Amino acid sequence: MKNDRHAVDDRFLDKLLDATLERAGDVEPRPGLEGRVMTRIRAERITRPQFAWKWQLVAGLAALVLLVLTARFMLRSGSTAHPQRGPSVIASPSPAIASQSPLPQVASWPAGSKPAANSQPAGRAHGRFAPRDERRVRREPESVRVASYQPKQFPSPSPLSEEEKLLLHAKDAPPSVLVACSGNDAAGDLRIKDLDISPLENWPPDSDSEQK
Amino acid sequence: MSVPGQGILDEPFPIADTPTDDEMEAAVEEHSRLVYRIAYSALRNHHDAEDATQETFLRFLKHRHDWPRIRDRRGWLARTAWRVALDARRRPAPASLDEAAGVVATLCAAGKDAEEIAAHEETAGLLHHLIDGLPHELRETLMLSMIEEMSSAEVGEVLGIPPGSVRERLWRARQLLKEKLRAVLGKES
Repeated sequence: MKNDRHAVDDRFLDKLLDATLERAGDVEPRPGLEGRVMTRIRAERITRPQFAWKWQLVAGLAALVLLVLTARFMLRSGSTAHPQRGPSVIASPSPAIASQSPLPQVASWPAGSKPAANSQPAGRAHGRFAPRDERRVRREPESVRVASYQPKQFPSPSPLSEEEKLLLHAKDAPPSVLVACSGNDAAGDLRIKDLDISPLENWPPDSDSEQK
Repeated sequence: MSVPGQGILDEPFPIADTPTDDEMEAAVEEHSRLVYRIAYSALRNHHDAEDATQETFLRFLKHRHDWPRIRDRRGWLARTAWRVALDARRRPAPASLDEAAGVVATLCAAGKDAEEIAAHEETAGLLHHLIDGLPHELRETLMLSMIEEMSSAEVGEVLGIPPGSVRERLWRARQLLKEKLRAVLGKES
């Protein structure tokens, strides 16, 4: 009897579950769902191109501003770095270039002393550009570095004369460069006077006078 | 006989006449009911289910460049609808289990038919309460299987499991539900 009741309950529960699950899954949307979905899609498609156009404009302007800033930065850095890089600073140390260059003038320093690593360029007293210039000097070759050495004393007591600059370059430059710097006229003017030695009198000396 | 939303669908499409317009309209017309039911099975709220349906089709529109590569649009929409519904799902307000169980037990004691009892709102509330207590994998499988259009293969595709696993989970879920239902009704009676 108990088993029969349990079996009935089991069958009843199965039926109840089936019916309830079926009803739970059989849900219908409110009328007009397709229309509302399409309306939403249309609204989205209308608004999206406007936003896309605005975003494209903003992106273009941002790219333009970035380009201008980059070009300006490169021009500025290029104008300050150019005079230091050229090896012609040594090959042709003309006074015009030396006077126009915004970089510090070459100055002498005591023998045996090296310029300090954190010494600032004489032409720029502000410290915010100093690190960039120092990095640039470190990367450059030895010959250019000589030209950009700075004295410890600031400002330098007096600008170097042309001969002093030549002497300073002559310390490390090969002779061929020196000849090129001095020019052919200097070599042409160099003239050695002919030797004119008059013969000595009473030569060879006599033996008598030698004994005296 | 008018079809819901047919009046709006008959209007000329006001946007650009791209090939996607007709495809989109056809997809909405063909699959919106299934998408809605999937969303409703997870959300159990008509308003939320409709929002999830619209979101699903918006995602479908965003992926229009992938349409040629989507072989099974119905499966793609079902998976997306399920994910959207799960994302939007909020913890439902706890229903009064004792009250619903009392009503169902009274109906059973009165000798009412199973169909008649299932038609009551309290029975549906009691069932959903018991389903919420199932383990995660059994609950999801049962919720998707309740949708009449969904076969075991489609449920498995949405959940990423083989159809055999779907059937096995369904059997376990039904067994657990039956035990819980028996315990609740026995306690009330």
